[in-house]
Amino acid sequence: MSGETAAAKSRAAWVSIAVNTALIAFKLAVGVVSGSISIISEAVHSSTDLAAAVIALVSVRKASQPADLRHRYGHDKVENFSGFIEAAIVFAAGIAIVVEAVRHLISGETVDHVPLAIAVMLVSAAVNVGLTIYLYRVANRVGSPALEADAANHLTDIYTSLGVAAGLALIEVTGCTYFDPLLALAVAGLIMWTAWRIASRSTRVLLDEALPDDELAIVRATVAEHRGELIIGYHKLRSRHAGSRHLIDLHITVSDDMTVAAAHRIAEHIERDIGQRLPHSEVLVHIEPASHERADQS
Amino acid sequence: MNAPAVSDVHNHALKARAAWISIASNATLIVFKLIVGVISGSIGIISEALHSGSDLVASIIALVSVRAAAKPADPSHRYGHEKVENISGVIEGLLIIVAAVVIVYEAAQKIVHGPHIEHIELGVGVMLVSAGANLLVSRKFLSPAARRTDSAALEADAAHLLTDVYTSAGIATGLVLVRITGWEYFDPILAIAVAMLIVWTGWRLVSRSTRVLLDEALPDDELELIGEKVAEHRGELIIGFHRLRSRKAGSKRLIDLHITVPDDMTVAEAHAVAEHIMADIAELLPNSEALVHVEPRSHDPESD
Repeated sequence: MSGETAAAKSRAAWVSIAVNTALIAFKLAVGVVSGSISIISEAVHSSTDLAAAVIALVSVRKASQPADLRHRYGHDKVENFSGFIEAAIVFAAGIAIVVEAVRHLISGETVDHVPLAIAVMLVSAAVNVGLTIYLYRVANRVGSPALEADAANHLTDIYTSLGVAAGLALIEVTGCTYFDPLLALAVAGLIMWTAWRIASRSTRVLLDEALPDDELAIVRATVAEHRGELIIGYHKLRSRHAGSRHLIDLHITVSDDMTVAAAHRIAEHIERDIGQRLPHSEVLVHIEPASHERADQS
Repeated sequence: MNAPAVSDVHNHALKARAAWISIASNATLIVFKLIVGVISGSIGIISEALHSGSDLVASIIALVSVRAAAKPADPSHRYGHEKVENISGVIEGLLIIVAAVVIVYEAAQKIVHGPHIEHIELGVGVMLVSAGANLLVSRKFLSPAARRTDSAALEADAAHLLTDVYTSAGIATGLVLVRITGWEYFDPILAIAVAMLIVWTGWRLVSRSTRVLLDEALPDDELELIGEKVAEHRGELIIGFHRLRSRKAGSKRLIDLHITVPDDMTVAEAHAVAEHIMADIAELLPNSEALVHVEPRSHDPESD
């Protein structure tokens, strides 16, 4: 990974940390003053966002370290693992909100300072819109699963803030205080759904799922261009992700009497071509003589 | 590729059987503890039932994952499904940590509001039965199966149950101390001590599985074995090797390396050498799969 990419990732993670810290202080202050369980639970949620942002920072830093003797394939999977941990934190936050909301439904506490609380949520939603757009943009540009998970996390914060604001507005209009915890429950459902989405995405990479079909098509097309001319065929094309990197290996078949030097030049050529069309990819080619192919291909 | 070896089929059956035994034992213990816990009103016994509940979830996850891991490689998982076992190790570790947090929370409430414990003899009896059952399942069934099949999921489940033995013993000690001294705070205090033990196990399971998920290299002694084996071919046909990379997926070892041969060697000859090395490594370390990249001597290895 280039130093520039690593710096861009770190900077984005730091922005997320700063914004979340400011939001926590803001929500906590207003939540305590207004006595709204939703605003306080939103502050709790923001603090899990802060924890998630810190994890994102630690993981993009760790992932940018080059391969070493203990990690010969690099450290990029740290980013995917951080997505998994972020999902677990988000899920736990969702459960905490459900517990609080149920308790609130049973006790039927009242909410104060409703207009103020609505204003807090709208400010929070606006800040999160900016942060989410920024994080998604950086994540897409530099290819970072950790920042993408952080962005997904903040996207639901927008929904939750708007949900809480709607709940409070309904209380103001109808006078029925149950709207606040009921909306909090709905928000918790949304949070858990996001947790599941982030977890499943990171898990697929951690389990070495193959590249998506469109990327595999690029690889296949690149290899196929060499066929006929010098390569008889290819098989056993395997692929997986590690963070933003693509790890690929395949067997190519050439004639038995070709020299190793000639075969290696072809292999290098294929490796370079794939690397050019699919950025951040690393290819390992195993060369096989034509006489062997029938035995191995089954 | 090849049909699964007889030993693979045998391993899968062995793993699934061990996971089922763990499920049966945990389900029985939950019912047992819950009944006695509710009757005796001991937070220790009830939180133990809760802990057994997380054990049951964990053992179900172990069963599901050993089954999923046994599936052969398919187009969307070309390296196999073995890493499912490592994911299950992480989830099991996280479950343990969550259970510990819940126990501390419950115990803290007990301390704040004042504990009230009855049926101490019964409580101690329950804990001893639980410790015995868990010790038996962990040591007699899960650990041997985990060792024989190198199963991360069963190893996690075995470690999990073994700490239950300590926790049961801790709770029993707490109840005995309450009985002797009459000071009921021993129950929640011992529960907190037990929770600390659980957190440590949870952390250990998470970190062990995480290392595999992050593609950490094989242990040094195994790498040395591979290096020595490849070096045996040196001089004779291959000039050298470099870029030896390795990782694990469940019990499977995935290895790749570059070997250097003379430029004018034919592909057929070079491939025969490569095949020989791959077969040697597969024989050297169980359940391993190697991929060799052949390079001509004229190629500068620094450019890789």
